[in-house]
Amino acid sequence: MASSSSSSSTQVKKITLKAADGKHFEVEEPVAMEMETVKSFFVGNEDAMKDMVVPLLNVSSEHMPAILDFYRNHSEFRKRTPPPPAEEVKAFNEAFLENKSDEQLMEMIMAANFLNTKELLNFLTEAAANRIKNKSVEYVRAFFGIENDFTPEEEARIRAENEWAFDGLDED
Amino acid sequence: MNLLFVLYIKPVQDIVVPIIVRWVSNLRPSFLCLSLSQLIFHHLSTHTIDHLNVIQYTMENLPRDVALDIFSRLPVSSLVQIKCVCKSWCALAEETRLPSMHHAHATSRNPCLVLNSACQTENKLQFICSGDGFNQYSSKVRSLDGRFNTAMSEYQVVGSCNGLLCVSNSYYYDPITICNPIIGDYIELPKSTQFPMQEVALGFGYLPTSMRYKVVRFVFYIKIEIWSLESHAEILTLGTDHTWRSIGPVPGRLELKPSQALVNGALHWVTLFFHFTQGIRLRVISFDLTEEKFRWIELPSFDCTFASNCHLVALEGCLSAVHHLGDEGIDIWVMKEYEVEESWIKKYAIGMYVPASLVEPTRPHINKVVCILNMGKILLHCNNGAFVLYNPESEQFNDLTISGLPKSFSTIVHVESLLLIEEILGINTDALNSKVISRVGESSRA
Repeated sequence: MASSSSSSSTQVKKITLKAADGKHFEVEEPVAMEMETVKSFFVGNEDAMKDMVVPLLNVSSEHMPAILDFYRNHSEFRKRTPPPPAEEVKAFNEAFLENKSDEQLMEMIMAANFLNTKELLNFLTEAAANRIKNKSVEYVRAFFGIENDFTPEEEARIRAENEWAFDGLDED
Repeated sequence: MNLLFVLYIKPVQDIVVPIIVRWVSNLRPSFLCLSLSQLIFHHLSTHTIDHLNVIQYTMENLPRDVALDIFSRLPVSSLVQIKCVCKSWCALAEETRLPSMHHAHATSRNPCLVLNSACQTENKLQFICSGDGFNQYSSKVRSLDGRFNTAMSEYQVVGSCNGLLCVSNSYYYDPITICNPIIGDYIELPKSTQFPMQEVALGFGYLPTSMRYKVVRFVFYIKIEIWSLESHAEILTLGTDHTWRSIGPVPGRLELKPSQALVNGALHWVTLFFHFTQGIRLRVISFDLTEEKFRWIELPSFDCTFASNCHLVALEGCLSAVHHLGDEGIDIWVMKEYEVEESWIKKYAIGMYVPASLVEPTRPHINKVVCILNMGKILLHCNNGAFVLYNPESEQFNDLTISGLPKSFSTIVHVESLLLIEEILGINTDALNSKVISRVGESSRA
């Protein structure tokens, strides 16, 4: 697919991204262009390419290396022929999530949403869904840091209406 | 433009910029996003933004679309529970876009399993949600009682397509009901033609090209006046005028069971026939739902003369025949190219496995190949009701630990959906007799 970018393998253009806390990241152009927010910054503004620093207000530098790592690996997976075995992609994805706390996961979702990148966002929201599926309401509240604003009566009524769903939960 | 100048005032910037950027990033017209963000960035990139704290993320400031996206990836049971988390989530879980978003994800995930168990004189429908853990399925069976109430006490499941289940009375094969068992929405089909001393095979399928759903009914009966076996086939297209259309006789006898596999827009049954040189043999009779025509498909040359030793299943879109070898396990033959008989290959040979839960002295037996899951593992249903996952690469078996399984049941591969029947069919069923017992998200969907 990205044949034009591979032809310029002699010298890959770099784009500087600036995380919310001011830290700079030099990123290969094709990788940076995976992020719609960065891409839209340059559309119709080719001159900006040269020495523009793109500030990413909602992305903390803590998550930048992981996010870039995801893009680099996944764009490599897509280019490879024959496509990599499902197990390899799965192993990478699992390793990617392994040491991420719930909070870090949520922050990365916000970052991916801000960067407007479907592939990473889909992957992360799927991961968030996996972490809360078949879990108790209390677990989900703790996961997202939500306070219960129902009165006990209101909550009991909703539970009664959907009683079947509360049977057979996984352990928190 | 004036608004942007506000950003130049430092104290205001801390609050306004994140809000604007978040607001803008939620808007899809990207030109707006682009121009605004460019201006903000252009200014900010020349200044230090170290003091701009990254927003504290809680679910409250998670954009609505992102929250909906997460919700739409949950199994229905979790989605229903989410309503109890807080008021704003309750409202979000009833968002009108959610059922179709959820449906799109559910069709690409591992399917859920509907279990139909017959105990004494009553049937019971239960289901098992798909998950992604080690087990791939939730650890407990959930009941569909209270949502799937039908006037029928004894029924059989004819088939499942795209979230719809077709159910018929097990003795009279009438009435036939189409339902979404997860939300308890159902419609009853008009009465079909009844014959004395009839035996009936039913099928339910859809045409992927036109998304039309059809129910077929093949009746075999004895015409007493002349003592001959007659047949009658009729078909009903859901969402049209809802009448049974006769399509003439059935060109041969078929196993009097619901169709076992929907492949390429055709239903398939195993049938016995007499070959002049080879004697009794099995072959497949297919019914093409578009052309409404029968065809014959030869099975691979495995030595099998009992229809009960062979069942059909759709595996990764291919018509597949499972040959039961008794104590030696099963062979799975896959027809790589549809209707090309030379393309049958023996793809899997699965040895006998004794599930941990099997009580002596029952002999182990694989009842049915249920489906292939996303990671290539094959889900097997064994004779004592145990589910076992078989990994074709490592040739290893894994027992699924699921509590609350009934003693004896049949398994139907199903897509859990929150959509109403009319939404799945893409028609308005108001004119038909749609009866809704209870709906998930009723208040927003009424």
